[in-house]
Amino acid sequence: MKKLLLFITVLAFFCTKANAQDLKLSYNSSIIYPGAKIGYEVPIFSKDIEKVKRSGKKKSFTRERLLSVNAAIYHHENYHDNLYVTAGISFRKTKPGGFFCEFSPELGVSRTFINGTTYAFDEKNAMKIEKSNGYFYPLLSVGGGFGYDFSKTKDLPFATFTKLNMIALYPYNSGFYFRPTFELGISYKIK
Amino acid sequence: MKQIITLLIALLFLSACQKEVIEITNNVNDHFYVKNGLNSSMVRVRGNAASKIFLLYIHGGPGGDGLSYRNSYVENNIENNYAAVYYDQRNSGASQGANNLDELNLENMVDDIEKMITVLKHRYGSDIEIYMLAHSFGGLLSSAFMTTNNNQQLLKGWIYVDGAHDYAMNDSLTRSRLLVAGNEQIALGKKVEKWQEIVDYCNAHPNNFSFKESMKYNSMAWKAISYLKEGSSTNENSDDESAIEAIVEDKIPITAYTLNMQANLEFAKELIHASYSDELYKVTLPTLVIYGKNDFVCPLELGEALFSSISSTDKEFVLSDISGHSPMDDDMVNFYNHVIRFIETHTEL
Repeated sequence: MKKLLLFITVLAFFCTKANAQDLKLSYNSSIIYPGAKIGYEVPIFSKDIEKVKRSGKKKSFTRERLLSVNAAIYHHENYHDNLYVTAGISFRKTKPGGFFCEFSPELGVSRTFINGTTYAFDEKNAMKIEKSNGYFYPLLSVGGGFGYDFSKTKDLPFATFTKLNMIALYPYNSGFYFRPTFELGISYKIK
Repeated sequence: MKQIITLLIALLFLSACQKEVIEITNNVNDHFYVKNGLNSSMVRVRGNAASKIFLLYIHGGPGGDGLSYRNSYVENNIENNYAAVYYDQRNSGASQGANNLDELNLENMVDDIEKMITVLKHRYGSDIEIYMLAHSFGGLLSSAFMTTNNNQQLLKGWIYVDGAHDYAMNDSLTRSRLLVAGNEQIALGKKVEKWQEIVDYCNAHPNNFSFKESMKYNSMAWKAISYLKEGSSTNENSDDESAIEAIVEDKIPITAYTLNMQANLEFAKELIHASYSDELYKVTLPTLVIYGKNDFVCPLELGEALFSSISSTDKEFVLSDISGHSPMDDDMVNFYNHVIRFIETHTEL
């Protein structure tokens, strides 16, 4: 857990030092439960590619790899609030017109906050109410989505995107816990 | 900046001082968690808490959930008169925890129930009457609870429904019932191929069952119930719409429910020889035993064995002629009539 947090901190530090940076904000719902996500990403690799199809038509696009650090939360009433921080890499393919699709695996740490009064017992079996009851979990998130980068055609410094993620917590009770999340957001180019 | 920090500290201080408000009405809709070790179990209390009579469901599985016993009939006939407690056992339903497989055993589950009852009495009054309704695996767990320390004194009555207090005996009885019913059905020319498959398996696996064989017998028992049910007219609860409503209204974490059920398979392996047959003489609590005549999962002979083993002088055995493993669904009205009659006979409130 500590190693994961250190990894995220190092990546976050690296992101703030990079030349190009995007700040991402998104609505991050988990099924019907609301949430939010904020992220910071920096490109570490970019290559313009041109391919010629059999028909002779040229197809060009840009391949990018971006490092990202993110913090997200969702609120599942009566169950838990899940606050998680992640670091990951995004594989993005952008067309000259601005449309892009991406795939991003992320690793992180989750802390749940159980929604509801929790009664706990001490060693002498005396009952007390435990505040902020919850658990830490290592977290893996895998997501894919698409969006539109306005900077490609209109010189506007932002993009919109939508993404489906699957987050997995382990060991949740005695096994894995999977949760789908849906993101809808904007990304703003800071530098 | 200083003002913001002061404000935050003040808010934290205020929230820490907030006193818990518990309203006891005839229509409560409460939920809370009971933490024990690395587990926090979800407890939902619905209905008439002002009656001071609580019906505590101990669900099956292992890995089932408390809310699965809630339906519109229970809302109208149980929750209107009493409080229903839908308790999710550790590593089940909406219970939460981290890396707690090592703690998943009957001893801790019994301790969880003791603590949960302490919390119920703290919240709703030490004079409340609690009736434990245990079903299937809940029968094994409640047998462990009843025969540990003086736990039965925490309760007013035990309603034991198609329970499994002795897993080894359970498998043998399931096999016997499958053989008898299988041969009968084959003789009647009904679903011959399917029943023959079951009979052949029973003949090939007569005793000393492994976990795999035990699971196979369990799955064949469910198949047998469904074969017999086809064409018969039971009052099975077909509340599909209410299931969807429950997911939304009760904020059920579907993925947790499903994955907890799966994770309990490891625990189930440890239960293969679990038995409380030799301990049941300790039970003196008023007890109502209800079994489905067509239950192959936990055959009625298992209930008869429990019934004759307990020392309770105030005990009753009810057989539902049209039920399989779940009389609360298959024979709902009759089932809850017996439950209500049992409660009304024993309440001192």
